[in-house]
Formats: sequence, C-alpha cells, structure tokens
Amino acid sequence: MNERAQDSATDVFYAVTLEQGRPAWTVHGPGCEAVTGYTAGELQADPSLWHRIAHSEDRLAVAAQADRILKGEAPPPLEHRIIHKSGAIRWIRNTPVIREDDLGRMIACDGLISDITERKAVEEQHRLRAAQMQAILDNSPAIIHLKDAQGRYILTNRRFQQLFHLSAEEVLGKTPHDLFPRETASVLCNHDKKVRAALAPLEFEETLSHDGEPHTYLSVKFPLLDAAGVPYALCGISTDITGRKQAAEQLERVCAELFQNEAALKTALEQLQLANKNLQATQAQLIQAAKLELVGTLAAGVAHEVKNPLQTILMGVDYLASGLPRANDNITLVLSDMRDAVTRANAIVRDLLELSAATAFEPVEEDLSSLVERSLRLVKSETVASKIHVSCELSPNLPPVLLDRRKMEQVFINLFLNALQAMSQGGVLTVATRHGRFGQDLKMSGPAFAHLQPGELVVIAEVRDTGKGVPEEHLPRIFDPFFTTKAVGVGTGLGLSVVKNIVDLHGGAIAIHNAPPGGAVVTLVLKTQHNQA
Amino acid sequence: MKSQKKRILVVDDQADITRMLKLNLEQTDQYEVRMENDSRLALAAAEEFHPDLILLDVVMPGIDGGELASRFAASPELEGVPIVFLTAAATKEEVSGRGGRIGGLPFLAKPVNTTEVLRCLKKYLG
Repeated sequence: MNERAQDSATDVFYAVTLEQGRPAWTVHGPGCEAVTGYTAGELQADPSLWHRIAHSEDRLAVAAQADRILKGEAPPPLEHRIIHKSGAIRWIRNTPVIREDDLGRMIACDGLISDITERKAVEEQHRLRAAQMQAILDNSPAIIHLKDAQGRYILTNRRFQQLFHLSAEEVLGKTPHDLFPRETASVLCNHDKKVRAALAPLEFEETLSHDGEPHTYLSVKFPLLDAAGVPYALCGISTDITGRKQAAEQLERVCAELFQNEAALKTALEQLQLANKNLQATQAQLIQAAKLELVGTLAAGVAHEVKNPLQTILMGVDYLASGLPRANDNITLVLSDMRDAVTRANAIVRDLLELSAATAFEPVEEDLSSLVERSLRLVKSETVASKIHVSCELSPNLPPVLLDRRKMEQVFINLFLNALQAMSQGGVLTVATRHGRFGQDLKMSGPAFAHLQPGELVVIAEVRDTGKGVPEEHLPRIFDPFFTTKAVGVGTGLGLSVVKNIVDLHGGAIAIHNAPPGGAVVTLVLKTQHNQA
Repeated sequence: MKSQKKRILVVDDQADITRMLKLNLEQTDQYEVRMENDSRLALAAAEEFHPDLILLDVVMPGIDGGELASRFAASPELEGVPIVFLTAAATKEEVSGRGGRIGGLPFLAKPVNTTEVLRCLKKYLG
C-alpha cells in the first residue's frame, strides 16, 4: 500500500496477542496513523496509549469492552471517540474478533477499527434535523399526525398527545378506530381514503371531541408519495377553528340582526320623512294661517280708514267729471282711470276682508253642480266677451255638501275669471263635477290633500283652461296673498288666496297643476254630509 | 217757506266726505245738503234742519251711527224721516247679501259713487 493510500485509509486492522490471558503485544495495520495520528510503532511501543487516546467520556466503555474480550466473550462492536494526535475528536468503530487455538483457547484478539467520524457527523445532522422537526411539530398549536399506508399512526405531535391524553407510544401503530368513537373514526378514515385516492392535498372540516367538548377542526391532509408516486404515508394538520367558527356564526347572526335593524331603521326613517313632510306641510299651513290672520286683522283695521278716503276721491271725481266740458278727452280719461283706481283699491280691501274670513260663514246643504252652474251664469258676460267656449261636465247626482253659498260662488267666480284671464286669445273653459271615495275611486296625492282620510266620500270640482298653464316654479306660491303672475293692475293678487281661504273654511282641499297639452287644472275637493258624524 | 229742494242731512266725522256729498248732491239742484261732522251735535242739527232724509256714518267718535239712529227715531221732530247708513265697515257684497239693511235700516257701503247715492235718495224720497 502506498503512502497516499495509507493516509486516506479509514480502516485499521489490529491484532492483540495474549499470553496467559494478558495482552502481550499489539500489531496495528498501516492505516492506524491516518485514523489516530499515531504510527503503528508508537502504538506498539506504548501498550496503554490506546486507552489514553480514548475520549475521557468513553474510556469506561472501552475498558468494559476490553474486559469482556479478555474474559473470552465476543462483545459487539463499540463506537466511541478518540483524541486524534492532532487534538481532533474522531469517531471510530471497534469490531473485535476472538482468535482461538486448536484447543479452543483464546490466544489473540483481532479487530477492525473503522473511522466513522463522517458517518457520525451525518447522523448528528439527521438527529438535529429530526429534533428540529419534532420541536416545530410539538410547538405547533395544530394537531399533526402521520399515518402509514395502512392508516396506522406513525407520528403525532405533542398537541395531539395532550388533547387526547395519550403518549406517543400509546398512539404509535394504532388506527383512528382504536382511539376515537366509531362515528368519528369512520369520518376520519373516509377523509384519509379520499386523500389517498386524490393523491393531492384536501381540506376537510372535522369534529373531534376532547375533554367532553366537541371541537371543529379545519384539517389539511396530504399524501406522502414514494419515488414511484405511490402514497406510503398520509399527513394531517388540523387547526381548531371552533372559536373562529363561533365568531363567524355570531358575526352572521349580528349581520342578520343588523340587516333586520337596518330594514326597521329604513322603515322608521321613511315614516319619519313622511311625518316630517306632513309636519312641514302643516307648518306651512300654520304659517299661512298665521299670515292670513295677521292680514285679516290689518285688513279689518284699515278697511274703515281706507274706504273713507276712497269715498272722498270717488265723489271728488264724480264732481269734477260733472263740470267737465265734453271735449276734454284727456281729463275724462284721467278721471276714468281714477275711478278705476278707486274700484281696484276697494277690491283689494274687500279681498283682504274676505281673506281674513272676517265675514260670517253661513253653511247650508247644497248641490255643488247647481252652485257651479249659478256661478257660471254670473260670469256669462265675461266669457262671451273673452270668446271662451264653456264645456260643462256636471254630475247630476252629487251627494249634498255643506257650504256657504255666497263664499263658494265667490270661489268659482274667482277661478272662472282667472281661467278667462289665462285665455286672453280665447279657448275652452271646462268645468266638471263628480264624487267618490277619496283615495279609492279618486286618486290624489300631495300635501294639499293630506288631511283627507282614505275612503272618505268627497265631491270634486275641476276647473280646466286651455291657457299657457302656471310656470312650475310658481305653483308652490300660487295661493300666497299678493302673489300674482298677472300684469300690474290686473287682479289684486288675492283672488286665489281668498279661494284657498274659503275652501279651508269648508274643510276642503284645493290644488293646481298643469295638464298636458297645456293649461291649468284646479281641483277642488269638499267633504260630503255623509262624513259628518 | 220750505224749500222745494229735498233736505238731506249728512252726518259723518270726515269733513271731506260730507263736503263731496254736498257738492255732488246740490249740483243736481234737487237737494239741499247740511253737513254735520260732530256726532254729538247731530241730533240738534237734525231737529233744527228738519231733513227729509239723513245720511248717517256708522263708525264715528263720540256717538256712533247706531246710537244716533236710535236717538233720531226717538225724536218727535224727526218722526218718519228715513235714515240711510253710509258705512265703511261693510262691503258691497254684504250690502246686497243683507238686503241692503243694517238693523232694519238701509245702508250704502263706502266707497259709493254719486249715481248710487242719487238712486238711493230717489228710492226713499221719490
């Protein structure tokens, strides 16, 4: 054997010759220097050197093996550390073989010393890795297990053992049927079967009981495949999701409750909005009523004071006119204008008084169609002069209503005159009456009708013109006192306020809207006698 | 000697109103008009003037028209003299609505023009 081969040798043969049961001399093979750092000569010259280079922690074992050899036993190979001449620690495996003479007496011990340092390092590495893996498994909050192809547990982590109060040894080699109730075990085995068939990871929700409490687990199970792709084991990692599931269920319940609450809240909001709308309408009506009351108070107060000067002016104009030469047209015109001005001023005072309802309210039972006809007759000369065609659609059998004839006539006269003024180029004035149950036969909506009860028997009058209609932006203010869309000097701006006031006085409702293709429609609703208690 | 013209007593606290009535009525040459603006002096004025008709304002300081009408009616010297109220406290519609009478007496609602006043005078005096 050349030197390089000797240097790299990892095995050393040796022979210890015995005399009278004691080692007499020792011969070491050529690899001993590579393994121990000492030459064969050095080892041969110092019989205790071998004992000394043994690692202090292993010397007892080395001595024990030597003792057994000397006693003629055949001890198993011993793996132990030695201190290499360089100071490095080496692992060796000493395999002794007893040599006997023909009579069966031990005469020597031959042996093979193998340097197993590298193998030991690999083993140590494996051991470390295994320890790391076990530490990871044992510190995982999940239940982890490994089963062999027959479904027997071959590895479990600490969590598994703690929860089911079993030691690793007690679990080893058992199947789920050995550890869990039949029903649970069947489910687990069925899941395992699916994973083996799928050859891929699968997720399951599994229920396992420990300490008498059922727990829900999310289990990820996957097969471990050999080189041929055949599953040789199955791993399961189960995470307790009981709390999460309960939280999710609670969240779901809370969501459902929230949804219900939201719906209830939405309904409440809608009701509130409706109530608010009604309140606003009522408030507007109250403001309007308060305004009218103020106007009425003022009107009643100033009527006397205004009418007296009007009286003076009117009679003054009469006097001046009587003494006027006929040819003076301009002065005649001026005086005529002054007379008209007095008439207008007086009309304003009259309307203000009417608006304030300062005049008496004297309701009697009346047929609305007849009253409408009478009112139409009162404006006949105006309709003829304005070239207006009047179309009547008056119901002959209306239930009677309680109304103040004079006031209600004024309502219709005002509405007719308004319609005529809206149709300065001629047109059609349609007047219709009918009756029915409010909200049932007669569908109407809007704040104006808010105080009428559904099902209430009501009489309705409609006054329709074919004029240009009312600009939409004016509709909300159309009943306000002094609000007018007419030219200056035409009308007092109180006509519709008076109308509204009189209708309110009757507990009725009135609304104006534009109807296609053009023109305004006034709808007037009065409660019938049948609704009176 | 009693004038051929009918005598009209106009009682109103507003001097301009009585003046205008006087001017317009007397212009017709059919009426002699006496004006009285102080209601407290009206009864004495009437008893002295012996009117054929009294035009009487309703709302006046001192004694109001209603009270004055009672006093005129109670006066033997004024027996049978028609009284027509001239009032700013009512509208024309009310006048027609009440048959043109207040407390049983006829009335004219201010502002009233000369034609209407003359029509009324003719009605009661012929």
